[in-house]
Amino acid sequence: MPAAALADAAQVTLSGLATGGLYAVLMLGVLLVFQVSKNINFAYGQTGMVGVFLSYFLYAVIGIPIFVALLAGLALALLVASLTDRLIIRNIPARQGFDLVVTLGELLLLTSLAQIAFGTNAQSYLKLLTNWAAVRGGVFINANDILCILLGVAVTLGGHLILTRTSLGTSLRASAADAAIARSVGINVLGLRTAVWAVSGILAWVAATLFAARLSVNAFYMTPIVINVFIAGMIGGLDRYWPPMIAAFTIALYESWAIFLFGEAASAPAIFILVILLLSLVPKRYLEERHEARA
Amino acid sequence: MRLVPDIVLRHRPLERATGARRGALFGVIALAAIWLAIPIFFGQYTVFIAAQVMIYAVATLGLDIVYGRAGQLSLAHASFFGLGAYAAALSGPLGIPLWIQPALVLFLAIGGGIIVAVPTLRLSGLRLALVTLLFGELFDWAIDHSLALTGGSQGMTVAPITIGPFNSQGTLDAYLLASALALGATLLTRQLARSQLGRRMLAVRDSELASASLGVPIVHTKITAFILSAVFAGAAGWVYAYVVGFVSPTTFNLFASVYFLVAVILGGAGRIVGVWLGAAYIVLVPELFNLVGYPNLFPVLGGGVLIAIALFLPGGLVEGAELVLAELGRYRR
Amino acid sequence: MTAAALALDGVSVRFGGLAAVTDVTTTFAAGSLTGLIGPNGAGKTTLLNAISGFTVVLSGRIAMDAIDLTPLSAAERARLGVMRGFQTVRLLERETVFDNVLVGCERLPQPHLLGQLLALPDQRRCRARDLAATETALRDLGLLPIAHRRVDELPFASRRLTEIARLLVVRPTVLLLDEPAAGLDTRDRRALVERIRAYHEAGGLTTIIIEHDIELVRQLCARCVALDMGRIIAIGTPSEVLSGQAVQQAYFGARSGA
Repeated sequence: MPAAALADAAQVTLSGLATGGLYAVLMLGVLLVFQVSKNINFAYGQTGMVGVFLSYFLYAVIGIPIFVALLAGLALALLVASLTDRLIIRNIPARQGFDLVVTLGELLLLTSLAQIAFGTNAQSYLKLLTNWAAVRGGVFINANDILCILLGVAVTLGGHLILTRTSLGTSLRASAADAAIARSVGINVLGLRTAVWAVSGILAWVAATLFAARLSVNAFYMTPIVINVFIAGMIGGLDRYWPPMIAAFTIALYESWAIFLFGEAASAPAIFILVILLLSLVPKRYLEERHEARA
Repeated sequence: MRLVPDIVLRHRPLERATGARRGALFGVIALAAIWLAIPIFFGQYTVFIAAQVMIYAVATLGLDIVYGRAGQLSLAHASFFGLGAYAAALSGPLGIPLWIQPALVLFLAIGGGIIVAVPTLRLSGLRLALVTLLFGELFDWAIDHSLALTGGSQGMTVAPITIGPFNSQGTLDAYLLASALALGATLLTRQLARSQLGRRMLAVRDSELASASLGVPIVHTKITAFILSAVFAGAAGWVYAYVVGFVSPTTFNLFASVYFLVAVILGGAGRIVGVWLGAAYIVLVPELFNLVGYPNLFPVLGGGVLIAIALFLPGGLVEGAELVLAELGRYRR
Repeated sequence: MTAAALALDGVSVRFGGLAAVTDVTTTFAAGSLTGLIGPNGAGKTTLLNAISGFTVVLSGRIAMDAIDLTPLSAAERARLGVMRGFQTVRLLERETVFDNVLVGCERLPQPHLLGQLLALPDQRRCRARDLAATETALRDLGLLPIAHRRVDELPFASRRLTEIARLLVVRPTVLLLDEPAAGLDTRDRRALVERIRAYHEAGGLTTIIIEHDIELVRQLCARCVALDMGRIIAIGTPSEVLSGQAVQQAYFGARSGA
């Protein structure tokens, strides 16, 4: 294979893995929330987005020092995540799919609030190492890419270790399996749930901040990202760990290659085809209803 | 004229208490009076907005069928709306005669409904929503990337239907056209609620296990629900394009699908009156905000409303009205 | 519809490594009312699931008269008249008692789609027929006073009766009931027994009832099948079966009996 093509391949793969790393960060947030409260939060991307917008506003418009601005953004993301759980998710009727509907409403709400507060123009944001690069063998290695990959790997491994090796992880898994039993054994189920949602907010903010450095940013910028993460979750299975995490990296690689081979316009149809193929070929089990008949 | 069968009356105390038969007749007369009053007493702008409400009501009825009644959360609904709209828009340049177009829209809608339904048959919840969302994105993408044909993201103008003195972009003509569509769709939906198909949809929504134990063909019911939703939305979209005279992808994107959802849930899923209330909301309130100069406030309110309804009144405004009526009934006794 | 005989031949069901039902062979005569008894975990519900199509059999054959049910899905069997009640009572929670029973009219002939949507006279006739059948079923089970209530607001007994009404609104060919008397008080129990007996006297129905209430089984059933650990351990009249050694052992342990 000619050196130029190899360099291209490495480039595409590198950038795909970097996006995959950030997808993995978001995936952990989605998995934790789903396993502990059985909910999907369609407004997950916006949770991070509002934090990023606040940081940008404080730093670039008002002139507050960068670290304070970042911290403020983090705090906002954390707050939004916790409030989503506390005020909304815990209080909606247990009707199937209502959490989807209600978080869609939150998506509308947060997106439009951000647009009103900060305007609809795309902004460019902090560099966050995107302007540090080196060239090795014709491949343009961007430090931000490396950072994202490392972060993704760290989060994936860290998540696995915490869930399997610590008592915190055991408590989490117990609460996920059966909250009533967990409570009766003395696990602080509600406290754990609040903590998990808060952590998911932090993860959303981290990913949103890094994405803001890599993409042009407007109020909707996290939406397609989060959709891809949910797709990865759907493919791997939201009740497992390694399959969806690997799916997160894989889908990013897939998209990166599709864009490289067929152009920017190829990403939406490529994802679409992937999902339809997988759905048609892989049989998925029903939810509890089926198993009830065995009682 | 029997509007509500005796047997049902005897077992529905709310209807008994409010003198349902007389009440329903009165309601029909009141609606007819309002319908006449609008073009007679109000200006062009109001009449045009009323036509929009009726068009959106038809589309919302479609979403109510597939989501409110059959329980399948379709986030592709605005795309079916767009399918009809772009069919109308492209009929001009492609030279498709008027008399073929309704059949064409029907055909496209049935095809579209089947194509979206089939992958979703074994899915529920998030997976269902995601797949329908992806279909929606695909439609959006197709329009955006077919610049030469559809004008891409800039949109394209639509020449009106002209038959003799009738011009679909004329205010009164649009009003009549939309009314005819809305009347047909509403009657059809009312019939659906009383038919075996309607019962099957409720069964599939509430318990697939019970449905199977009754012999309800679940796959057939889901596909039919999607097809009906696509036909309603497609027909509404077709009329929309000819009435408004302009189509662009932003009217038919994910946010638009979410607004249809807001309409169904705000009004009350599974209730015709609820659908009309919801459709009125998503047409009138943005106009209101436009008029007072805060166009961006509507999505905020839309999102907030969805959350508030989900938290406090999951059955929508119709449930709220029924609760109020029940309270009044108790108070009177 | 005339009653159908139900024939089970070598039916076995496994869940992974667990043999839930093993080699069950018996025939339920047309028009018979049979009690299915046995200790917890004996495989009674699994057997009912196998007959109604909610569980796939590992081996064996299930036939209703000349029709082989084994390859058919649950919905297909339901359309043939195999109606199954669930231990946990499966209802449409957001609907009224009336609508829950109305849904049971599924098996009556209906006009095709276009006819339904266009309110043709055929459709109106069918609807009137369905409404009348529903009212009759509700009256028979004493549910008319609460017909307009939402089922998720009702006590368990009413929910149980609603499910039974739904099963009976169109005469089944084979009726499978899973502990129908559980949760009912004495008066409701008596009413239920009367109802089932009345339906049977009218003929045309083959019923299998899983019950722990021995008295009810004695009152209702001419025949009894006892299961233990997935196998049939006794078949006969209730008295014969209940006094037999095998059943005593299964229920009470090895110490009792002769």
